[in-house]
Amino acid sequence: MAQYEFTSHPTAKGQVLLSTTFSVNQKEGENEVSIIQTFEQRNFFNWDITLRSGYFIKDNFAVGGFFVFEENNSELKYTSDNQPVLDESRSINYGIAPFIRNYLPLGDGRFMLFNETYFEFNYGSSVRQITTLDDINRVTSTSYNFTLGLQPGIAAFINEKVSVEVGTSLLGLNSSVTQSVTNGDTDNPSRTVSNNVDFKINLLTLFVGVTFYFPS
Amino acid sequence: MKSKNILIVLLAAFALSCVKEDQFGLSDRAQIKTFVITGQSGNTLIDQDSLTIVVPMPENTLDFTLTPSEITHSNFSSVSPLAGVTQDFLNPVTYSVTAENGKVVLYEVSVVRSGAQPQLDNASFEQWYSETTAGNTYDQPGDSKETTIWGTANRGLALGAGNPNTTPLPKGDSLAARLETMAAPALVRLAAATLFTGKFTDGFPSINDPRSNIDLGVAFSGRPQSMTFQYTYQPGPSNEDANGQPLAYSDQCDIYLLLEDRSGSQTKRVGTAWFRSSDLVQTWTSVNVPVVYGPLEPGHPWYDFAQPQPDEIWGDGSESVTHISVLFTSSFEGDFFKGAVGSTLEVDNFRLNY
Repeated sequence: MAQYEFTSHPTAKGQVLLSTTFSVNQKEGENEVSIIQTFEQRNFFNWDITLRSGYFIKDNFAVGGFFVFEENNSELKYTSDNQPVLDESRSINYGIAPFIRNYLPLGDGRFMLFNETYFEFNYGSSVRQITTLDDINRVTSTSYNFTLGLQPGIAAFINEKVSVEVGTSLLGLNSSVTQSVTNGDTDNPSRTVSNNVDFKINLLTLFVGVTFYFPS
Repeated sequence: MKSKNILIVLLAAFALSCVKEDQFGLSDRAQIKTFVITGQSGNTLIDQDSLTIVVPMPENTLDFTLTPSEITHSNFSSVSPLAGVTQDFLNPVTYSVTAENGKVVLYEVSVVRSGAQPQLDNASFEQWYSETTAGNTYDQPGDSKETTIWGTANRGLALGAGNPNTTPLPKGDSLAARLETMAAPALVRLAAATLFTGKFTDGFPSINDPRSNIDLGVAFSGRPQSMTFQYTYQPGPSNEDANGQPLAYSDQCDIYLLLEDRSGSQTKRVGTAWFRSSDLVQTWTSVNVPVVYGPLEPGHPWYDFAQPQPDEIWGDGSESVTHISVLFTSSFEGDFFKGAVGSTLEVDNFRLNY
């Protein structure tokens, strides 16, 4: 089998990279038995999309940004204290992040290690409403997240325009502020601020993506 | 130009981004849950069906111009007038509750004197009415089926074409109640007589779990110190178990009072008074049994048998009383079809003392 020759180097200065990842997670269940409860009904619908674009300002080094949108909806029906309970929630998250990406070609350049360093700002809002015979309880919250994170991975080039990437996320530094209002009591919101540093690799956050490279 | 388009798309996306508070609809709840006037003498009775609230004040209350100190209502609803606003309660006052979705519910709040020392209706068993089940007519304590607070197992016996085991008993120029454990007409060995506050099931009675046929307890607020009643008792000659095998102990009568707080999702036992005896008592005897508030301590004479029912837990005794259960039975283990046929309990003039 003849060795494939790159006609142009995909990560050369002046190239543009584009990628999209999309996931949907949907479930409808009736009379499911879980450890603590039997759910008469359990539905959820979650999806997210990430759009990423970058420009190689020099060989094997790109700067760019990505945009993340995530939506989660869930509906639970179960019985507690002989009372029917309906637990509904919906949340939406938006994130934008500038990033820099370094590539390290291996061998003939068909495989490259890469590392992406990004600074993400994420805004989320959610509402959860629990309806019982007794009353209706509702918690609304808004959250702001700042993350300085790393995404190392490996890219396998199919040709000079397309690569398949496998990577993982290192959380890095994260700072978040969440403000929640329970039952409309805006005078007494609950506010949590959390900061953490974490450089453990979480294999469960392994992602696979397809990235396209074009000359600018 | 291209970047401007992207910016517009992003801004449009952000404009849609907030999850609206009414995502799952506005609340339609508009209930007054508690209503407190400082100095009230007993528990407020709130009837969510008839939308009436009755606040008992001490007997010596002269001025009905009163200020509610606390009104709690459904989440997201608003109440008018507010707590802290003085009202003239000489006539019932209307309080309106507006739900988040705009629904308005009107409650009528009245203040009555001396609600704190209530007695149970027909507790001297003077009134009896007649009821017919499956072609059998029998007497039941109370004024009518709709209004009586007392229930018996007579209906279950009538379904089996048996004689009623709780009957009116002439006593001087008044009436008392007579409870006699009888051989059952069908299916089981014996039917212990019971007389209780509550209702006997309207459906076909359960044979396996006789207790489930009884909806024990009626709405009540008050904190009696003791209960008094007059009784006679004669245990039957042969106490036997469900299979007719003799038991080593004599049959006993049971007379008890339970005060409960059923306002939360979990029923709590607030107060207990219990009388259990196998003694032969042939002349009318008056007994006074104190009410113990809160859990019974180990070693208490009632500790072994007065524990909370399966759907009930101990309160600490300070809870508001919402229900009272009073039960008389001629055979204390009648729930398990144990007892002596012929055990007879007669009761009269039940009274709560404050």
